[in-house]
Amino acid sequence: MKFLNTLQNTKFSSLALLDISYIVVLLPLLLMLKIPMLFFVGVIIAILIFKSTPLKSIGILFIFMLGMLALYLSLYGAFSFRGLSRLKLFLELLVYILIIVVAMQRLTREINFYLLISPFLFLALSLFFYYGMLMLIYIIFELFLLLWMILSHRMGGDIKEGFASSMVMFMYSLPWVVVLFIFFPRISFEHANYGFRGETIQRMGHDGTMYLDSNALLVPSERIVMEVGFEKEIPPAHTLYFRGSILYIDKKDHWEGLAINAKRETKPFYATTGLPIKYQVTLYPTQKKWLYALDMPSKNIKNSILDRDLISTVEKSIKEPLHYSANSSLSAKFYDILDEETFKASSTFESDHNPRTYTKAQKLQKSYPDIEKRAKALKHFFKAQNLTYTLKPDALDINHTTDSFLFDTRRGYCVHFASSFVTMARMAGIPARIVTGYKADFINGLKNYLPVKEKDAHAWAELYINDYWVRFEATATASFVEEDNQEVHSSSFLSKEVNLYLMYVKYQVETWILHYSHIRQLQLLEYAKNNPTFVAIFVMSLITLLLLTFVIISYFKRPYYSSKTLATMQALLKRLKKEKYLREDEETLHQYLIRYAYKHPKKTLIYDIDKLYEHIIYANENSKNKQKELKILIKKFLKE
Amino acid sequence: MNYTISPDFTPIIDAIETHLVGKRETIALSLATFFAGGHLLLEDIPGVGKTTLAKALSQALGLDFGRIQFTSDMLPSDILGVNYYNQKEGDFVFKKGPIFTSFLLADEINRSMPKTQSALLQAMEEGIITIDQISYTLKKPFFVMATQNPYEEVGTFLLPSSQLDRFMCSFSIGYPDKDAERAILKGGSKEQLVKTQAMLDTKQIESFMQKASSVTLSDTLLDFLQAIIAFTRESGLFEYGLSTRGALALTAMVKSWAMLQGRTYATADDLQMVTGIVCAHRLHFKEGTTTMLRISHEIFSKIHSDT
Amino acid sequence: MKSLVKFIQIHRSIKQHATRFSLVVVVLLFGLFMEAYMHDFNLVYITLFFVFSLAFSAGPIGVLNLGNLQVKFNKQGRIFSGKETEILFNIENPMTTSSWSITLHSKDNTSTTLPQIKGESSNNVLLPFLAHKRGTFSYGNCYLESKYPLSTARLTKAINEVYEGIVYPQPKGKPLDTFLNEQETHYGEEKEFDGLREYDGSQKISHIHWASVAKGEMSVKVFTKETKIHNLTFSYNKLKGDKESKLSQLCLWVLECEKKRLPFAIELPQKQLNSKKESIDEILEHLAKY
Repeated sequence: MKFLNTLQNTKFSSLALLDISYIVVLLPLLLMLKIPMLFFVGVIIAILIFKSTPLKSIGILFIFMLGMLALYLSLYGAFSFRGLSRLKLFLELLVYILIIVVAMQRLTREINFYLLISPFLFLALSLFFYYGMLMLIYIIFELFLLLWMILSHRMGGDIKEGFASSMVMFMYSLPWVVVLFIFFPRISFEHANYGFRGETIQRMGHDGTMYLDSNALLVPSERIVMEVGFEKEIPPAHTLYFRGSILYIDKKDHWEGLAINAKRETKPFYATTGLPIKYQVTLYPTQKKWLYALDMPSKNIKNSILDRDLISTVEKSIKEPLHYSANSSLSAKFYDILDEETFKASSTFESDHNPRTYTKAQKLQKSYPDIEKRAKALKHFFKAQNLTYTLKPDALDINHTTDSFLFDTRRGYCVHFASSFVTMARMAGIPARIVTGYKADFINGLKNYLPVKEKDAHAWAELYINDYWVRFEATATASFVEEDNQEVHSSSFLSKEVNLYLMYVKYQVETWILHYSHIRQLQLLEYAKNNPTFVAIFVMSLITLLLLTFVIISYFKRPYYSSKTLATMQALLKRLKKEKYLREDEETLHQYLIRYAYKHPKKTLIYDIDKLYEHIIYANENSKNKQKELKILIKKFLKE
Repeated sequence: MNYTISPDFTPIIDAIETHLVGKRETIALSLATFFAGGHLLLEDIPGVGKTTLAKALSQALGLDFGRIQFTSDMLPSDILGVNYYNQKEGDFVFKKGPIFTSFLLADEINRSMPKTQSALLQAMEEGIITIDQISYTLKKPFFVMATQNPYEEVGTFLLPSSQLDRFMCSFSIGYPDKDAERAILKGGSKEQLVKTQAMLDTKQIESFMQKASSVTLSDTLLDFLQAIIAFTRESGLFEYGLSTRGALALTAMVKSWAMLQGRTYATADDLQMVTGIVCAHRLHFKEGTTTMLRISHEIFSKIHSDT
Repeated sequence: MKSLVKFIQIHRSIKQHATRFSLVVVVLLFGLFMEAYMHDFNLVYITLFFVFSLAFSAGPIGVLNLGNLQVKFNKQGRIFSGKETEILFNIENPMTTSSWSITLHSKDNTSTTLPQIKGESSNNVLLPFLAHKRGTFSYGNCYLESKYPLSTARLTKAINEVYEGIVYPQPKGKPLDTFLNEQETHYGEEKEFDGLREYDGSQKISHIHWASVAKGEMSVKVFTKETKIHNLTFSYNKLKGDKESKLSQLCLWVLECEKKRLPFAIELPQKQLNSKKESIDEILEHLAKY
């Protein structure tokens, strides 16, 4: 409180206000400065702190030389005329030069025009380098702060009054910004790709191999891999399989995809059937080429290739967040005519690796000539093995993985289940393959938003039955599920919920603000044409925004009274004013009220009000009760 | 009229008013000055009742009354007293001057020489006089009501502002209004008036003075008071601003005036009421004439209470 | 509706001029638009819209800040020729909100920056003024200027009122005491010798009793004074010098008499002025216009 009071009473000099602005606009840029330039900035700050007199021209010259040196060292190597054509490098150079020039001017401790406008240049430049949720918040904060500083400067350094006024102005402009943002025509180029490199943490994607031993992919992490926004609500839990890669080849300790994967691209895929569904995906950097789509994809994702196995890939591995919209038909199977190669790849097995399984599989094949029934029997067989699903399995015999899992350890997780299931299916004469991807957890979703986490990584089996590839959830055959201890210590239910809501908000902001585009705009308009209720809601929310703006403005524009009591009295005073009783220059409030009362002998209540007011203000009887009493009296008076 | 005198004091005022018809406010203000522990300077032309007021007031308060008529040849010893040689006892004996009284009327104080004036004024301030290194304490309460002729009168010595500062208030009684004057004219001459009965004793006076000094000044009022003081110093209207002694006098008067109305707290109205009389002899406009009304008008049209 | 009409009225009373910061805003808007247009950066769009709407809302805010103010001239003291004085402006803010960052400019390029003018209150502002000639004068063509809130426009509001005032002659010449000493009995008529008193510095030197000085004491003769002093009479014709210096001399004496509260009369060639009949200001006005 004491700090606030001193803050209220201190008047800031223009230079101090300018410094605050510079600190705020330079903060994000500092993150991208190279070490020599950072050192230069550090030197400048040190000089400003320890030397309180203006620098002489020799000093300024020295600073200039130092700045040029820092600039040279920072851009050494990257600096060539060819390099300049790259926009980012050019902008970096601009930032460096601006920093040096501003530092030179700032050290003279004189404010000139260029020093005043440079914060805006920094602000505009920083927009080239950063993009994302954080920057959005920061930009709004920066704009407000700059406004605040300008107004405080105009108000002679009074930052408290400056804050109120800047709040008013900010609120005046907010509805305009919203309306302009939504309706301003966006006929522009593609969204540029340079810039923001904040998200460099690598997500564990699937790399087209699946290990069964200690290299196995097992990441019980909460990190978000992708965020999915459905058009309507999230589809049922049992359909949330996101396909990644497909594995055909059993290499004892791991599975691999087809080496000739590329060949399959040329072959067209057959149209999938099922409940059509549309959704938006934000995929975080995986450093891999796979895109993930719900079973079964029905359309090519833009800029990617969808092959006959319904696997989507991009040309270059994904190094920054990727947004795509996808279409799928919700179904557990899809039609495909197997070519020889695929048939071969999905039927190969080594019987001597898993002799025990082979014997059992042969038995099944003989007992169930019908392929569909055989697959069912396979499932039953797995169930009969009393398998345990656990994230902490015992080590398997690498040379006999399926035998060892099915008959010895009987403990494992998705990879073990899927791998064994596929092996045994092949042994039983059913073409089969492993699909890896994500099985999203329905519980994580909120409304139409579904985040997919690293721990949702999954592997399942696909069996070729009667011209269809059919999904088999191998882990569903587990008889026991061992509780995962690791999950227990993770955050409580409530914080999870809050976290989920935060993620949801972030996702919505990103889709509707950061990735708002011409297409979105058209979509919105199209949608509005057909949905009058949506238009009504939209208009209502705009009105709500206006009202909110109005409330905030009137809050900050409210006149200031020296005491709470006097503020309470305003209702009464306004009424008297309305009745054309104006308070004269030399009148005290008491005299004014008495003059009124004299003319209105019936309104005796005013004497009580006057007396109570006098007691509160002058006799130090300022208690809550008295304040309340005064309020009640005034209300009563106004009603009369 | 923005005040109501407490029933404790109305009989006193009533009694004095029989001598000084139509001057209730003047009487009340004089009482307030007395209870505030200050001294009063009356500036008036002769014959409007300065002496009558003093006499009636002293009688009503039950104080012993002393009077000094100042003349140009008066010396300090004429007021304070002298050491004279008593031949019978063979020693110097102090003969008390007229100042050793509770209620002193210093009539036409500006007729005497500055030296004599200052002797009285110093005694007023300190309550002690020292003659030949021996200190004598004055009576308590000690109240001086000085009168001063308007400046145009010839052969007078203006009181310097440092001396004026020692009076808490100054005002003039002025002519009575029409009705009051008519009543006076009907009523006849002074001799017919009976002596006023003493209405308070020393204890009561002391308790009232005690009450006056313990009147509450709220923060709001102090803010207002300080704004007024700052205005006198910073507005550039006056030659000098209000001194700290002047500010103290103002607070004391505000408290006393509030007490006179039977309140235990002072309000902005009280301050408005007394500011003029406290400041009239302390402030001087740089240009034009200085009057009580002009001062309070200038101040209160610019400094507002309750805002 | 009513407030809109009022706003239009206020708006008309104000002239807007571009500043170099207006140019900055235009350049910034253009640059941001290009940046946004080329790369479809929504952040840049948001910044662009903010800058645009802030600059846009700065207009009415600035107009209201300045336009509501009402300026009056206040009578402030006496103005004498050749003496640096000030013209007093009273700037009233009838709104409930404060007005900020306003400067007051006069016709002769003097200006002063006003502090915050709180809502429903008024400020008094002084502008320095130097009159070279006695007589009447008019002071006008003043205007208020403000760059509030964003410096993107310079708003000016002309003050239509004109101050009509009088410049009194420059008070100059011999002090009043010299004049009084030339008069014989300015303290009244000394009727009767009343005795000797110790000299305390306040008495007239001519009353010193020189005989006592010879004895080593310093006494003054004291007389009873009975009649009032005669009116002081300053005669224009008896003064030496040109017209202006004569008027200056009279002006000085008038002021000194006012201070000492001495009644006086002035004899001008065609006019008699008396302090008992006319106020000091009226007398000074006569001198100013003579």
